[in-house]
Amino acid sequence: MSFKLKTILLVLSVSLIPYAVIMILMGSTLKKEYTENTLQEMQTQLQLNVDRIEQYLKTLNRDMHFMSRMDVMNDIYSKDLDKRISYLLMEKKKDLEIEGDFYLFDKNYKIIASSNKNILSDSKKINKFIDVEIISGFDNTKIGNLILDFSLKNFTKFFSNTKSRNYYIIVDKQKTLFLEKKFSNALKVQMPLKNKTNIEIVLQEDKEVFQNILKEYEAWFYTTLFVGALLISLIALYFSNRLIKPIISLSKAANIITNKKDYSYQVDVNSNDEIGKLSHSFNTMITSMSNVLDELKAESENKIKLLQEQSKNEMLEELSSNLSKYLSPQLYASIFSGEQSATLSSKRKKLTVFFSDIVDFTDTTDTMESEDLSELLNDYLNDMTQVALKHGATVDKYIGDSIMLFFGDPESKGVKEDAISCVIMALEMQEHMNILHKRWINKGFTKPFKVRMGIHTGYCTVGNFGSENRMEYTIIGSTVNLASRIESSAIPGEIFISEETQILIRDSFETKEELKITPKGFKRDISLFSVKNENKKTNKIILNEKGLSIVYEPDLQDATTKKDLKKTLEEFITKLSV
Amino acid sequence: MKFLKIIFLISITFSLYAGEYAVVVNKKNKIDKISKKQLKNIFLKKRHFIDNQKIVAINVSANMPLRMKFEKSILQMSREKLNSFWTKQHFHGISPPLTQSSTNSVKLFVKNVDGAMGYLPKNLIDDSIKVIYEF
Repeated sequence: MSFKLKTILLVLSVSLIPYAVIMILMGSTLKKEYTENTLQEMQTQLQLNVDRIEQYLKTLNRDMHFMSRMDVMNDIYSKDLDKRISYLLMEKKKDLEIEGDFYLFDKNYKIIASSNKNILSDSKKINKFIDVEIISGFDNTKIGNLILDFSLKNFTKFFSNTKSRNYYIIVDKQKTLFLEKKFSNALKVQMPLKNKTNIEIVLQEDKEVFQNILKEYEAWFYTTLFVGALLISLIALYFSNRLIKPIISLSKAANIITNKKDYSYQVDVNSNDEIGKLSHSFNTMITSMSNVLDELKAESENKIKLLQEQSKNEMLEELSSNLSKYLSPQLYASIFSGEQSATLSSKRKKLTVFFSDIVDFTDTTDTMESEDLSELLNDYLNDMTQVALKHGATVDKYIGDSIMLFFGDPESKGVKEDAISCVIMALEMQEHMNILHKRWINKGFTKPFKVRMGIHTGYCTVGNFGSENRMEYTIIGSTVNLASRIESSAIPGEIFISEETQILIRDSFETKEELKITPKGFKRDISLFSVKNENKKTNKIILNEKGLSIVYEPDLQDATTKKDLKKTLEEFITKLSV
Repeated sequence: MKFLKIIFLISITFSLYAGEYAVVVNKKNKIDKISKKQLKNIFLKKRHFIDNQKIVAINVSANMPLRMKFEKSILQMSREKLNSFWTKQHFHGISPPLTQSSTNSVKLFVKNVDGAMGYLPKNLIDDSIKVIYEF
C-alpha cells in the first residue's frame, strides 16, 4: 500500500467515520424523537379534546342542575298538564344543540315530560347519561329526576379528523363508535373520560402517512449523508494530496537525480512545515552533494593532469638526463634553469681553455682489439670527466681520445680562480693517471698511456653555433687554437700552460718555462710553462672557493703580520658563524 | 237549636258570600275552614303554617280573570301594589307563590301535594279536593 493511499485512508477514516457515526446516530435519534414527538403531539391534542368534552359535559351537568332547581319543576305534581316543563326541555335541547333528549321522571320513574314530542312510555329504553335529582322548592324532598338521554355522537363535533388522523370512541373496552377510517397500521393514543371511565376517546394516526414522512425524511437524510460524505471525501482527497504532493515531488526529484545524475535539480518548496523543511534540507543536501561532486571532479581532473604532467616530466627528466650525458653539466644546468636559451647567440668572455690527449694513441690502438680499446677509452674518458666535473669544468667535447674543456662559462669564479681551478684539475688528472695505470695493468694492459695537457687563458667567443635545427654550445677563437697547439707541444705526462695562464697561477704553483713556440697563424713567440704537482712552498695554503680566495704563504709573514692575520681570521670565523 | 243556628249561619254565609269560586286544599289537610285574613297572609307569604301544616300557596297565571278576582276580593290589593310588594319581598329572599297556568293543573297539584292550597271555579270542585273557603 502506497503512502498516498495510506494517507488518504487515514484522513478519510479520521473524518468520514465520525461524521457517518454522528449522522446515523443523529438520524436514529431524530427518527425516534420524531415518533415520540408525534405521539406526544397526539397525546396533547387528545388531552385537549378530552378536556373540551369534559368541560362540555360539566356545562351540561350544571345546566341540568340549574333546571332541576327551577320552580317550574313543581309541575311534576300537576303532571305537567300545562306542558311548561316539556316546553322548557325542548327549548333547552334546541339551545344546546344536542343529539339526544331530556326526560323528566317522577318519583315512581314515570315519565312526566320530555324534549321529545313522542314521549317514550318505556323508561327502561332511556339511556340515563346524566341523571339529576329534582328537589321540590317548598318541602326539600325529591320529587323526580331530570335525565339526559345523550348520544355519544355529540362528541364527534369535537373531533377534528384529517386524512391521516382521526378520533373514535371505545365504550366498555369493546364497542367501537364513529370509526371513520380503519388504518391497517396506526399510531394510537387513548384516554378515558374522568367521570365516564367506560368511555375512551382514541386518536389514531395512519402509520403509513407517518412512515411516508419518515421515508421522505430518510431520503433527505441519506442524501445529506451522501453529499456530506462526498464533500468530506473530496476535502480529504484534496488535503491528503496536498500533504503528499511535496513527498511525491521529493521522491520524483530523488529519482530524477538518481537516473539523470542531474545534481542541479531542485525541489519546489512552498510550505514552512516539516515537509517544507525536509524539502529544503533535501535541496541543501543535493546542492552540497553537487558541490562535493564538482570538487571531486575538479580534483580528479587535476590529479589526472598532474599524473600526466608527472609522467611527462618523468619522461622529460629521463630524456633530459639521457641528453645531459651528451652535454656538459653546467650547460645542462644553465639550459634547464633557463639561464641559457637555445638560440643562436654568442658572447665574448675570458676563459681558461684546456686540451688533453693520449700520446701515440693511434699507435696503441692499432695493437689492441677494438672492444678493449673502447673499454679503455671509455674508462679513461669517464674518469677524466669525473675529475673535470669535480672542479667545475665545462666539458666541451671529446675528439677521439682528446678532451676539450674550459672554465669560466656558464659559471665563473673569476678569471684567476678559473685558471687556478683548471690547473688543479689538470694536476689531479695527471695524478689520476697513475691510478688508471695500476687498474689497467691489473686488467692486462701493460703499455701505459701518457697524457699531455695544454692550458691557455684568453678571450673566446662562447655560445651556440650551428644551424637552427642542430646547434652546439662551444667556444671558438684563437685562444682555443692556441690551447690546442700548446697541448700538442707538451711533453707527454706534463702540463703546459701559456704565459697568460702562468701569470694568473704563479702565486700558487711552481712553474717552469720550458720552450717557446711559434704556432701556425701566430706572429709572436709563445712561452710555454710546465706546472709541477708540488706547491711552491710546503706551508703554503691555497683556498679557492666561490666568494673566498685565500693564498697563504707563511714565508712572507713576520710575527706581527701573523698576529694581525690571526685576528682577521677570527673575525672572519665569527662572521661565518653568524 | 244549635244545629239550626249553624244552618242559619251557613245559609246566611251562602246567601251573603256564596260566590262562584272556592279555595281548596288537599284532602289530607286537617283544615276545614280559613278566614279571609289567614288566606291573605298565606298568599302574601306572611304565613306558612296553619295548625302545623305547611301550606304551599298556588296561584294561577297572572293574566287569568280568576287571579284578578282573587286579588280583588281576598288580597284586596291592586296589581301595582302587589308588584311593588313582591319586589320588596324579593330582597328578603321571598318569592311569590307558585303558579299553574291552568285551573286543571291547580286542581291536580292540590290533589297531589299535601300542603297545597289553591283557588278554583266551583264547577271544577269534586271529591278529590276539599273546599275551605268560597268567594
